[in-house]
Order: sequence, then structure tokens, then C-alpha cells
Amino acid sequence: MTSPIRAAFAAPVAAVLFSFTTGTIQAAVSVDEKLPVYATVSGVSGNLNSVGSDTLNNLMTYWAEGFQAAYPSVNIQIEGKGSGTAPTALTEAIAQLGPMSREMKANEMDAFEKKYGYKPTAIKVAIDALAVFVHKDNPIKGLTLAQVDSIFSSTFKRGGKNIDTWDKAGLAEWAGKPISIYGRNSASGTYGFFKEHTLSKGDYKATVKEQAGSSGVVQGVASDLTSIGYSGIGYVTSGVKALPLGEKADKLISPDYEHALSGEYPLSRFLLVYVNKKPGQPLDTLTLEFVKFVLSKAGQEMVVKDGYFPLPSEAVSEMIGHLSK
Amino acid sequence: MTDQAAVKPNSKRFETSPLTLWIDWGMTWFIRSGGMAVIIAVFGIFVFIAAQVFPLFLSADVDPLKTISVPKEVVPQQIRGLISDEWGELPAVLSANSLTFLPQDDSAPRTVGLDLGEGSAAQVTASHIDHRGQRIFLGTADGRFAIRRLSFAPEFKPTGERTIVGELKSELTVPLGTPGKPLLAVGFGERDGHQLAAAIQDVDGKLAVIAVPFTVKKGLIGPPKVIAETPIDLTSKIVGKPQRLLVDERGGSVVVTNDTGTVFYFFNGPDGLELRQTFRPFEDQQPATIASLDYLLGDVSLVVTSPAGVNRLFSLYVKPGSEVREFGHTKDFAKLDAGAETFAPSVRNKCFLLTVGNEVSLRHGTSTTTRWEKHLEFPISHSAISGKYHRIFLLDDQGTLHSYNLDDPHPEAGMTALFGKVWYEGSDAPNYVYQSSGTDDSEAKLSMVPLLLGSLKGTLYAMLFALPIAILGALYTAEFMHPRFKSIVKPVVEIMASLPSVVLGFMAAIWLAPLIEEKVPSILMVGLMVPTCAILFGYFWSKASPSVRSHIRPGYEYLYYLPILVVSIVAAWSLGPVLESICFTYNGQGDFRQWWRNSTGLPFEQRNSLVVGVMMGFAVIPIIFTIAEDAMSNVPPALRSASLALGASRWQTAMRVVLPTASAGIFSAIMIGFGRAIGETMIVVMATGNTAIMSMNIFDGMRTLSANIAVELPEAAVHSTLFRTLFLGALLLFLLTFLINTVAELLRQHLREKYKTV
Repeated sequence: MTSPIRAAFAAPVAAVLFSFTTGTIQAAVSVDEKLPVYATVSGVSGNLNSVGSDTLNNLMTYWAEGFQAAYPSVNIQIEGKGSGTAPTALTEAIAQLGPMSREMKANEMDAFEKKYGYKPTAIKVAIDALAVFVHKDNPIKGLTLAQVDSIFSSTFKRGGKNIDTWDKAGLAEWAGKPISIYGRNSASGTYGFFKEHTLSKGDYKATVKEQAGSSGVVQGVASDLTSIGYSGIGYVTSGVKALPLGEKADKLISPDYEHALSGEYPLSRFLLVYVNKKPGQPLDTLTLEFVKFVLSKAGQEMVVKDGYFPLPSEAVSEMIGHLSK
Repeated sequence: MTDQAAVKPNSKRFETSPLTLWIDWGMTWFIRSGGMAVIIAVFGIFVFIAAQVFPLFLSADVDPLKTISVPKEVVPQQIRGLISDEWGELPAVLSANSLTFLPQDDSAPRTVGLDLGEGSAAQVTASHIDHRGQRIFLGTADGRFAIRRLSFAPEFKPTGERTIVGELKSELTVPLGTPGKPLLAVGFGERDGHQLAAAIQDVDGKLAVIAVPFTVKKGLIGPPKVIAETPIDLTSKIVGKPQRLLVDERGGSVVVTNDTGTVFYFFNGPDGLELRQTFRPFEDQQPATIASLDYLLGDVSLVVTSPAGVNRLFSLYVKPGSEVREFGHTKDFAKLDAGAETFAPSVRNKCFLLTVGNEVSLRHGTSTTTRWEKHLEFPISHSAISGKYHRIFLLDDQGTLHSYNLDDPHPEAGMTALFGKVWYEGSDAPNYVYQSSGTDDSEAKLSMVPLLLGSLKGTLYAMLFALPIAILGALYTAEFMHPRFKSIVKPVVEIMASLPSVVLGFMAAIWLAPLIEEKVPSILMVGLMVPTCAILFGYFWSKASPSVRSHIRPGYEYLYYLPILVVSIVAAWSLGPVLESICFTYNGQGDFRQWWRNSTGLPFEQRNSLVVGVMMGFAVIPIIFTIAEDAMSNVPPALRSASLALGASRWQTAMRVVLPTASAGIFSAIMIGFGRAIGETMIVVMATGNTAIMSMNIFDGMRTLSANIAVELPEAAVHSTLFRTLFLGALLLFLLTFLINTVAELLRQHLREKYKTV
């Protein structure tokens, strides 16, 4: 109650609002002041389709709303069933934008290249810290990556032993309580990223309950006391707790902006949007303007609003230069 | 009045009008063709699905494309290796001091230097080609270790034509081990933050094995910093003469073989390199030495051949009783004529190419099948597979490069992979596993068996719940209930059938699953007490004096039973925790979840088969109920009346007359319900965790064939292996229902024949 910020809020309503926002991490994050301000251009209209990541689904919706406010004649449709759906949609020209939360796999690139003769272009649009969630009443302080691997995988490539109860994960007061595991379905980029970076490319246990969306994972974890799950940080709710993670038990790092940007948080990643850009030719106007909007100050403010982390301006200017050529 | 006699019978009156005949003929053919169309449509669907599935079972198709000779300045005997670009358009040969690109489009070959300096000291004495990372690791006569990156990039001309441009970039050149002494074998691997180089070095006739770790500090943005650490000498730990050395791509281990056929596996843990395992891959063979040893894509499995041509796979896994991952013998391949002379891995899948003399053999690491093999007219000295797994390059001893077109879109499929027990990398025993996608180098696990089991499991539990309720309900409604109520009950149940399954699934996931998790003992009590109370009530009712019974008109008896039903449910529900604290205790406390885990050793999941059984049962009950009730109501009233008139009770009439007569119809009802349950998708997708497990445990989830299609189809690229595998799932469902329906129809005919006379 002695917090100076809190003292500034006199009205009880404001206090309630405040306690609501401090629950999530984005309160401290602000966008880079050097990011370009988006300027509307004339002659932008048409249909824009986006098919791909569920992690980026809400964010794409925010961007679409913002973009449509600037260009009322543009019609945007967004579908977010998982990153795995983006390459197929881009290849079959169902979508111009393919949001993905992992990099495209070689065989997905192959299918695209077979049709167009060149590879799709990846645009970094935001930074995410893939978070491991537990129920909000779980007293655990954090986990090492080897422990996370031992919980989720059947191959234990990080060298640990099988962990199926909470006491084996270092929570003595929960002795004998089984760990109920939630994860994403294989179409998800988060599934792939987690598999590659946390399980060291190992296999998931067959007992991981696969949910079709990140919100399903978070909902599952929030309703199941002894559970654990993972998703992008943007899906954090008051019912779950994002755990600090690390290579070593004495150096666990929480998933926040600073640690994601420095790369210290082990599961930080770029969120990407893939586009079909012919080499040597600029992107078509509609798609290019949308991407410019996404990488503008207004676009990156929406990233913060959705709970993800904005890009620094260096990364943005390089990207726009490449796309306009 | 007309004159009767004058009227002659008009014969036309007894003829059918031509119009009627026409309509009759037309309708006959219309219906007939409609029926035929249905059969053709079903057959067409079958053919379409089968055509989609068929390519999964084909083997590789390889055709020669062209031959190119290396330029004169490259001495064939000095060639050390062959590497291909991703597109298979610009293969390159590595020789002692240069790299030569051999374009496949008939443009002139181009030779570039390796940037190692001049003279004999700069000669390459060791090389390892990293096909995946498109890098060459080199060791020189003067003891330097070098990394050269091959960058292949497509270049587009304004006309839209594409050419591949290859470049060689110097990445690293550092002295390794004792200065000035030649390196005989080199290896390198890296993962976020750590790099590891290792080499065998000839120090004045004595072979030394050394490893040097580097630490790399890398942020998301900005250039990385590399810090070299102290070299580690492994020589003392190796018995005999070291021969071959491999470092896995993540720099997590060093594998060294010696001249007597022993493999030394050094693990790069937090405390540095430690000798974790020594093993002899061919200790049962004569000779027991190792002819070749190479990593399969992913660098967790070693492909080993013996001088006699025995080809085995050793994978890293945690052996029972052990706590660390060690190499173990997991697979055997077809025998070669002799030990492999060249090895080329695919970088798209687990295929690898082995050659011995004129023999070439393309094999798949997961299914152990030989995809393609051939005896060629020339001895092969080097081999490579293009990045996209669509070209094979073979270099003969005269320096001629032979290129082949490789058409093998589904190497990871086949009977063994889809239906057999497979020993996957990293697991400690052969298993049925379904995990279709992962990273580029993970093994596709496409076993249909867990999915088939999941479908049957879901159906079984749904039918266990639905059958008694639906059939008994139908029997009661048809035989005992007052017609006035029947006219209300039946439409209400039919409305239940129209509940969208997505709504049921949603309810199951959000409401029922957490409820059942807490209240298993209560549900158990309800399941026990309600039927018991019903039977007891029936018994006492039958013993009650006729004066009591005559208070109630036939068909209204349930009004007496209703309060008892409500009380028994409430009592059973609240007795649940009592039962739990008496029977299902763990650590002195009533806790069913823990008790189940502890006493059966099986898991208890929140999203389990009980939830699915109940919810899917809800979807199935109305269908079975309606059809079964119709079948019973359609029993001729004369039969019923005759039975009652002969003195049979209503119960006897129902059991002995109505049920047998209607049995064919009831059987159809059950089969239609079964068909609905096995194909049900949404409820299963939402209410289970879609866990593809091999377990019939009721408190565990499942993944059904239909749910699998719904979950994975959006990510399946058209005509990819996954796409066709999903179609295989559809084909299995099709065949399953076809089989069950055929058997059911035969049984139904049999029943109908049997009870025709009743």
C-alpha cells in the first residue's frame, strides 16, 4: 500500500484496474521511440488473407483493425489454426500473409519453392518469450530446462530422469501429486519451437494433452491444479503463473522483455510473418503497406497491448529496406 | 335408365393406362439408377481415398540423368568428397587444395581455392562434409583446423530464369593441438552458446585425440562473441589406434573408433568431456572391426558397417536401469557385399546411401527398408544426395560424375512404419507411436495402431454407457409407458439427437471433465445405486397387494418410482465422498485420483475416456433409442395381444415376444449407434487430450482416427506423406465401418429369418 504508483490512484476503481494490469508483464514494456510513424498512402484497397499461427492470432486481429481504420476499403480475413497451416496456405495462394511462431521447415519451403521457384520471405514482427505455465496456486518457483524436458519428453535428451510427480520436480510439499501435461497440437509453431529448443528435438510424451489453441492450453492449466503447459507469453491470464526458466537451477530467468531481448531467457523467439515476395521485385502495395504498418510505432504498440514484446528500431528499418526492393 | 344388355364390357377398363405404365417404368429406372448411383458414389469415394493412400507403399524410382567429367586439373585420386546443393544443380567435389563446382546446366566447371595458404603444409589431410549445414571441416598437414561454408544461392535473371550460384566462404581457421602436426580426422558441432571441435592428430607417429570447446555469447540482436577454452586431450582414454572420429552437430559428444572395432563415446556434459560408454558394434561378428561409422540425420543414430557388410544402427537412448543416454543396437539392415566405402545422408529424412564397389543401396533408417539398390557399371568412389532428396550424385574412380533423378516422396511410410512396431530413435524398445511432425531432423512416427485403438476405445466406452440406457429406455417406452407420455418422450429424445456435437464436446471439456475428475466415487455410487434401487422397487412393487397396485393405471407406475429415483441419486451423490474415504484412500486421506494411480499404476487424467464415453453416449443414445423403439412398436399388436390373452404378464410378453421379434431392428439400431460413435470427431477432439497412447485405461485419454484427421489436416501439405497418412486413417475408418456393417447386416438377416415365424 506504500507504493508511490499505487498512492497516485485515489479512486478504488483505478486501484482495481491497476491490480489487474500488474498481474501481467507488459506494464513495464514501452516501444522504441525511434520506430517509424506510419503514414497512409493513397490507392490501397483490396482483400488481404492471413492464415497461420494461433499465437499471433489476436495480434493479427489488432493489426487488421488498425490497418482497416486507415484504409476502410481494405478487407482483411484472419485464420489462426497453427503455424503449420501457413506454408500450405501461402503455397496454394490462399493467403498473402503467413504468420508463424517458428521458422519454416525445409520440407515446407520445398513445397513453396516447387511452385514458385523461390523461397518465401520471413518478416520479424514481434518478440515472444515462450512461457511455461503452471496453475496460479502452484508454489513452485521455477524449473531448469532439463527438468522441463524430463516433464514433457519421452526421450530425455537434456539428460534428465523422468519426472511424473511434482516432488520429483523439486516440490516436496506436493509429494505423489501427478503432473498433468498440456501442450499444443502438431500444427502449432509453438509445439515445434518447444520441441526443438526445450526437448532438444526429442519427442513429446504420448500423455501430453494436445489442445487446438494456446487459449485452450492456458484454460486447461488454469482449471487443473497439478498441471503444466506452454504457450506464447501473450496468452498469460490471471489463472496461471509463468515460470522462470534457465539452464542452471541457481540462475532462473523470468520471461520478461529485458531478458527476451538480451537472449538470456532461453525460450525467447521472434514471431514471424511469411510473405510471397518475388526476388528483385518489391512486395505488392497492399501487403507492403500492411507490413509497414505492423512495423510502425502504432503497430508495435499493439504488440505490447497483446502482451508480446516490441521490436527494436534497428531490426525494423533493415526489414523494410529489404521488402521495398 | 340405360339398357344393361347394350353395355358391352369395355376391355380398356381393365388395361392400365399407358401413362401409368410409363410412370411405373420411369420410376423403376429412376430408383434403380439412384441406387446404382449411391453404390457408385460410395465406391468412387473408396477408390479416391485408396488412390491417395497407394503411393505410401511405393518404393523409390531412380533414373540416370547425365554424366560430367571433372576438369583436368583435378586429380581423381585426390578427390576427398562430394557435396551437393539443395537444388541438385551445382554439386561440388573437394580435393586436396581446392573445391570444384560442376554445374548441371552444361556451363563450365569452376574451381576455387580453400584459402589455406600455399605449399605442401597447406594440403588438406582430413575432411568432413557437413551436408546439412553445407560446411566443410578441414584439417591440414600443418595442424590447422578450418571451417569453410558453401553458400548456394539462387539468382534470378530478369527473364525469370534461375541459376544457382555457389560460393566458398572462410569461417574459421585455427591451429589445433600440437602445432605443425597433421590432422587425420576432424569433427565439429555447435549449439546455442557452445562449439566443439575435435581431431585425430599424428604427433610423430603417435596418434592423439584432442577436443577444443569454444563458448559463444549470442543475443537475439548483435554479433556473437567467441571464447576459446582449454583443449582436452582424450588420447589416454582410448585403447588401441584411433581410426575414425565424429562430433555430433550440436557438439554434445565425440565418438571415436579404434582399429579393433571398439567405439568410444565421450559425452560433453556440464563438467566437460567424459568417457560415457565403450561398445563393440560387431562383437558377435568375424572380423569384429568397423568398416564405416556415420551419423544418420539428427546425429543421434550411428550407421555402422562391418568389413563383412553387416549393416546396423546404434541409437542413443536411456537403457532400463541406466540414467543416461547410451548407444544401443536398435536395427539391422540388409547385408552388403562388404563394408561400406561411401556414405551419403539425406538431409530431409532418415534415408542414407551406402556404396561398395559397384553396388549402391539407398536405405531408410526408421523402417530399415531398402528403398533402391543397383549394381552399376562403374566403381563408386564418392556419393552425395541433394538437399531436397531428389538427386543422387555418384563419382566414379575416373572422375566422372553421374547424376540420377530420385523420385521417392514417401520414404518414411510403408507397411512396417504404418502398422508395425518400430524402434524409434531415443526410445528404449520398439513401440507403436504416432507423432507426425517435429523438427526437420526428427523421425516421423506414423503408426496407425494407437489411433485405431483410440477409435475402438472411445467407441467401446461410449457404447458401454449408451447401450443399456438406450435399449432399456426404448423397451420401457414401447412396452410399458402410457401412450400419452410416449408421445412426449419420443420427440424430446429425438431433439436430443439434434444437439450439435461441438456443443457436447465443449460442455465435456469445460464442465464435465473437471466435475468428473473430482466426483468419480459419486458417479460410481450413482451407477451402482440407481439400478439397484430400481430393481428393488420393482421387486417390492410386484409383491405389493393388488389394492395398492390398482391405485395406479398401467403405464403410470413410474410416478411412484420417481421420488425414489431422485432420492437414490442424491443419496448416492452425497455418499460418494464417504465411499472415497473408506475405499479409495491414499496416505490416510480419501483421494480417488491418487488411489487409482497408486493401486493400479495407471495414470488418471482430467480429460479421460469416461468423459468421452458419457458425452459421446449422449450423442448416441437418441439414435439407438429411436430406432430400437420403432422396431419394438412395430411388432404386430396381434402377437402382443395373443401373448397377453394366453396369460403371460407384460414383462413376459416384452421379453419373450416383443424383444425377439424386434431383435433385427434393435440390432440395426445398435450398429447405427456404433457407426456414429466410431466416426464421431468433435466431442473427442475437444474432450480428450488427443493423446495417441496404447492404453485401454478408462481414466486416460485417446486419439481417434477421425479426431486425428481433424487436428492434423490443416497443416498437411497436399500430397505430402502426412496428407496421405491422414487419408490412410480415413481409409481405415471406411474399411472398419464397412466390415462392421457387413457383419451386422448378415447377423440381422439371420435374426430376421430366425424370428420370422414368431
